[in-house]
Amino acid sequence: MPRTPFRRTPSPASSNPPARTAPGSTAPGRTAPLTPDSGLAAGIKALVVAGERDKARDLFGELVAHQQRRAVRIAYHYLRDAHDADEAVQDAFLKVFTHIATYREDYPFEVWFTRILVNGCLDMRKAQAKRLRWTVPVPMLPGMPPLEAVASGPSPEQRLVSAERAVQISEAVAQLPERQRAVFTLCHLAEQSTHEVSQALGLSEATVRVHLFRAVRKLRKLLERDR
Amino acid sequence: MKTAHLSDDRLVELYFTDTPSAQEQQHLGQCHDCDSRRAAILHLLDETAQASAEDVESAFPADRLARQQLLIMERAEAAAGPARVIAFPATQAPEPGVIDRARSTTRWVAAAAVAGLLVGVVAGRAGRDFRPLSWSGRGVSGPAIQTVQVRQDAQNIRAISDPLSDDEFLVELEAAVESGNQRGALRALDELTPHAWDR
Repeated sequence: MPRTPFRRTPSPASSNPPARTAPGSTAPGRTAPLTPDSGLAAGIKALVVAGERDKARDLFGELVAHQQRRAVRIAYHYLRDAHDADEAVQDAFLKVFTHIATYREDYPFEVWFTRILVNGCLDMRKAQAKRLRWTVPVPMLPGMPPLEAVASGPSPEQRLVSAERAVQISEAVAQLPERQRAVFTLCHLAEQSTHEVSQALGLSEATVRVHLFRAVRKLRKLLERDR
Repeated sequence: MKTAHLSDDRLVELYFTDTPSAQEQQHLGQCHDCDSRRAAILHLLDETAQASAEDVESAFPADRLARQQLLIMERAEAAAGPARVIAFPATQAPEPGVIDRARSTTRWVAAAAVAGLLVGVVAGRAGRDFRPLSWSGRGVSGPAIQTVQVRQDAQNIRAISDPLSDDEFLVELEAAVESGNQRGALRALDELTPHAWDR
């Protein structure tokens, strides 16, 4: 009987190409950067400190290209809105560039960046909640097209035809409590280790694992019920 | 050797982080129940990841990601570059001659205002200091003139706040004596004078 593999297979989106290390990214005597993107970030920092902004910007473009898809995935799962996710990702990258001088090379860049992004998403969600408090719900009138679901894709037809199950799953993920959803999104959908997630969210690794187990348990329950 | 079944949490843990021990691996190879549970968890998580990826792909196609990247780079460039000075539109700028005329008029008005102010201050000071000669004798004013209106009716005597000087008092006394109505006048003066029996 063929056995199922133990570990998840990394998605092609997450496998970043090896980043080239910028000159000055690792000082002599210092240990090698933790990840390729950490090396890139250290290089950008060195260039910014040296006043070579143009070169730093070029290198920053590479960093954006490596991290963008993962950032979009995290932001979209947090905010459930493409426009807001777009804005959150842009803001997070801009913060990285403007505050790169404060980046610590002994810290994985992914963790630092995820923290910035998640904080931005949380701020945006607070702002959304404030906006919604002042929004008067519009009553449905006969002949009015139904409103799009929160977790919908761009085209309802496409969704109905190709991804009914995907909608169910994404609704189930959206039903998870805030913490569980954050941990599940970062561990599973953004493919970060529990250690990295614990650093990004400021939780202990044991707590992250507990949230992860609970999230999976709840998802199983929700999705088995929907079948 | 028979080992205990693996819990669901342990199976999730194996999926995310850990590698199974040799014992666990052996157990999973033999125990159909554990293996099927593991397969179910694996299926659920893979399905979730796939659905999520499709969801994000449909919301963020390649062209949108490219646009986003462009915007990020533009914003980074704007943040890094020096501050820009925005020029006013040329059509709204007045002619150079108009500016000169307006400036010279403003200067004249300002100079006139300052001159007026100075003249006013100097004139005010000079007016206050200037005293005609005829006033000079009255420049030092004596003690306030205290008057006692002596009337025939002693009840209507008006007391004045400051006391009279001795000379004035004597002058008044003489005038009253000379007027003829001595008794009434003296009575009025008597009213003003403290008596021993009042004490």
